[in-house]
Amino acid sequence: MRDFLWGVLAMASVVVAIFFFHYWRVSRDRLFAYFSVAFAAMALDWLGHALLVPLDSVRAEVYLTSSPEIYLVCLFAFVVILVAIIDKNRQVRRR
Amino acid sequence: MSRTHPPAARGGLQPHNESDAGYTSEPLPDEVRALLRERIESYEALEILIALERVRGIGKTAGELSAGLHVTPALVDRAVRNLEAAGLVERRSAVQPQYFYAPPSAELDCAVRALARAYAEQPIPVIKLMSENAIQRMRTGAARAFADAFILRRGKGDG
Amino acid sequence: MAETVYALCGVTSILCAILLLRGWRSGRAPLLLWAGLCFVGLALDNVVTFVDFVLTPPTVDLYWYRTSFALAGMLVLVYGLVRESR
Repeated sequence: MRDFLWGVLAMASVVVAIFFFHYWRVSRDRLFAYFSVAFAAMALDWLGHALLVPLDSVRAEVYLTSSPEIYLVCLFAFVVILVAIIDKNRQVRRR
Repeated sequence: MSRTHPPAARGGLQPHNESDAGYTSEPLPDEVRALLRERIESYEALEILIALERVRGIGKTAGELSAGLHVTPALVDRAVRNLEAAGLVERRSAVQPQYFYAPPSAELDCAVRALARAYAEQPIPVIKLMSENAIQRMRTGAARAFADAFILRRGKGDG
Repeated sequence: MAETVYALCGVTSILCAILLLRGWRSGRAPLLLWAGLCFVGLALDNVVTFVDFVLTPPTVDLYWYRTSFALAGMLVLVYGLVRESR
């Protein structure tokens, strides 16, 4: 069940990433490219959960010791979002 | 080729006296297309920008613009706010607020002059491009609202 | 380290949620509401993950809460994006 839910989350993220990719192509606003990458990374994050976390236990110590690198993908996704926000505001100021 | 009457006085889709009637073989330059796409949202904004560029250094009040271009004051207000947000026009308050042509860079100034020239010589491609941009803006309205939400400092006083 | 990451992700999600919901309240597109709610869901996911890993004992597993919030948020955003594309 947990793998299934992570799969649903990954799929939803991929769909969102595709929408943002389309918005970027149409509007040429870099913010959408960043968000597309961020949601694609979130999809990878959830995929990583499904692949790496042992099915019978998602307790903290098992989670963190068996697959500590998963959170780096999550970090990447949100750093990209922060970069998107900063970039957008710098674009606006430069106008 | 010099025009003896300013673009603003033509006021609308009147055909040229010249034989080519706006269909030339030259495409609009890239900086003009970018300017129209990114900073000019209405025909009123275009006419006001061109009118102010022509008298650069002299300010016009909303009333003068409205009378000179035969545009209602409400549309003038909306258009100058568009141009102010685009960074092309500056408002200085004297007794009455006056609007000045104030491009932030030499490149934008060149682009505006090229646009004024293009609109005088071949208005139909300019108008066609503006219509296409307007349709595109409508289609991407939600996306633009999303992107604009992330601008931290909102000058419009909303909410 | 992981805890710091989830805290940062939570804070970023909250920021996005605030910006989007503020934009929606200014009378603009419904998409901002759906996206704002998505980031609320993601924020709750990250906050509960932080609580789960840092504050609660190992016998407590908050997986279902985390995942439900994330799922609700993502599905709401997908719904909103599909609606806007009509």
